[in-house]
Amino acid sequence: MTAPITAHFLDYITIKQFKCFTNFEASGFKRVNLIGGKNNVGKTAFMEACYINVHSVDVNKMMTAIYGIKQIREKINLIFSDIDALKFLDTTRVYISKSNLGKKEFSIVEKDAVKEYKFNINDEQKIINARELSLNFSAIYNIKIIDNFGWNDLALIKAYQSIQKQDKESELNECVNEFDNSIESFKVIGDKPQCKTNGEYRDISEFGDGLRHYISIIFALYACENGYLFIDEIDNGIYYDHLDRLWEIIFTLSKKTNCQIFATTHSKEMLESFARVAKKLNEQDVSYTLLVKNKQQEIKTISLDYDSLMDSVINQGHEVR
Amino acid sequence: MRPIYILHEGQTKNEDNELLELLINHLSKEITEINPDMIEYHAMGGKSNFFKTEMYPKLLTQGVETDVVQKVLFIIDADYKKNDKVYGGFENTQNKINVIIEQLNFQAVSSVYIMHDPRIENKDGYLESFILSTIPEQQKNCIECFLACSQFQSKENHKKILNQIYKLAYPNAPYDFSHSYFNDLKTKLTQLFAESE
Repeated sequence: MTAPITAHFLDYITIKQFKCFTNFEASGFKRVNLIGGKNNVGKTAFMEACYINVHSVDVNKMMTAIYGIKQIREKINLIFSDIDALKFLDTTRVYISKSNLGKKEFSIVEKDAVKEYKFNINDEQKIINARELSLNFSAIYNIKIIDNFGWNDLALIKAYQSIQKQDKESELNECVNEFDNSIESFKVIGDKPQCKTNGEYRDISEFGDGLRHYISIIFALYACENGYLFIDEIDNGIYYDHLDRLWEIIFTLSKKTNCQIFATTHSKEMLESFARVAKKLNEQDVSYTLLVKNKQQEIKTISLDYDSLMDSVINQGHEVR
Repeated sequence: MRPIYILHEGQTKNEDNELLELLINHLSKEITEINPDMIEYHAMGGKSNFFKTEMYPKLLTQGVETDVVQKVLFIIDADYKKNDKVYGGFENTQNKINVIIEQLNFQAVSSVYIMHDPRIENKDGYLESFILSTIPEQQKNCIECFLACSQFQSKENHKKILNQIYKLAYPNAPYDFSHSYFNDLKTKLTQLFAESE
């Protein structure tokens, strides 16, 4: 039997307007959720919509989330000025979603040379004239996104500091070692994340992208205790042989840290590994959501819980991508 | 996901599945539109599962809802009316499967082929008796004679024995797809590829 969903977890979401979505709904989310679908069907946009929904607890957090997804997509590390930041915020003209965690709406309205930013968070409306908009970005520490190949050095260092504060360095090193037994430990030396191999510390950038991606996921699982982690293209750079081990760590750590995971993939191997490891660990708090387009080119979902996933992937060997 | 689903009795990789895969591959050599990679076979288990909506996989039901699955072919045994007055026999099977297709809201995408013995007027029978009907008269009579004399009366025993004898007797040429009795099934399978993307 599936464990009851934890109170803070996202259970369902409807997206009325955002990027490629119009009148979209998805449900049946569990603790660990894998999102599949063909290229350009909207997997990343779907995760971004979920991220904005859970992050938007007030106006500043909503602006931070909307700006944040653009920042990640454009791979910008620093805010150069309020004007630059505003330009990025302005690229999202409208966002309307509703979930079990609340109703979150944002829009930019320009009329008669007056520009207004409209926010509606759980039916509390706030309209701010563009001239009076103050950009106070503040991210929620336990809601994170990992894109393509993992975090940059700065983000890794920040996450490592939070692991140090929890005295979890040895646990972290065990996880890293389980993934790649040639790596003895991880440390931040000076301002560089480094891994020790053959008794010598080397800059993480000297290793493949897979290691950075993997380490980012582990760090984030610790950092997002009682929160949410969104991982885009989870299989990027990760060798096929390591997939099962990665899922074992995600299932185990996310349970330990009470963190809800959303991860996208279009890899058949990743999906099969997800199902295989869920079965091996009898981890039933999982879901698979496939994004598809119907005849009208609207984005719809096919949603499988643990039992359906086992039946389709493991028992019948069906193609579910 | 694949756009065509074929639902058959029994387990995955059983005789039903084997026959269908061979026939599809055979047809794909003659008709270019037929692409075996577009088909997903789903093993329904026993015949009774066909008549319960909860036995249909979510992947299929949601696949039809979202237009990803465009065709569904139900392949089911007629069995014998005398053994089951509700679900046994060609007509009962057809009527009951039509009801479930409506309940699933699959009318627009569904077709049905009921396996039976074409030599029997009321179309009783199942996959094995259908196959038996396509082999030369003399061998067919021998097998039927053996079955009649045997004490294996249950349907499942009967089917297993029949299948085993058939495989032993025809190891190199399992099915005679040129036999006219295959024509209806060939038509059903070919129609699956019309307008499927």
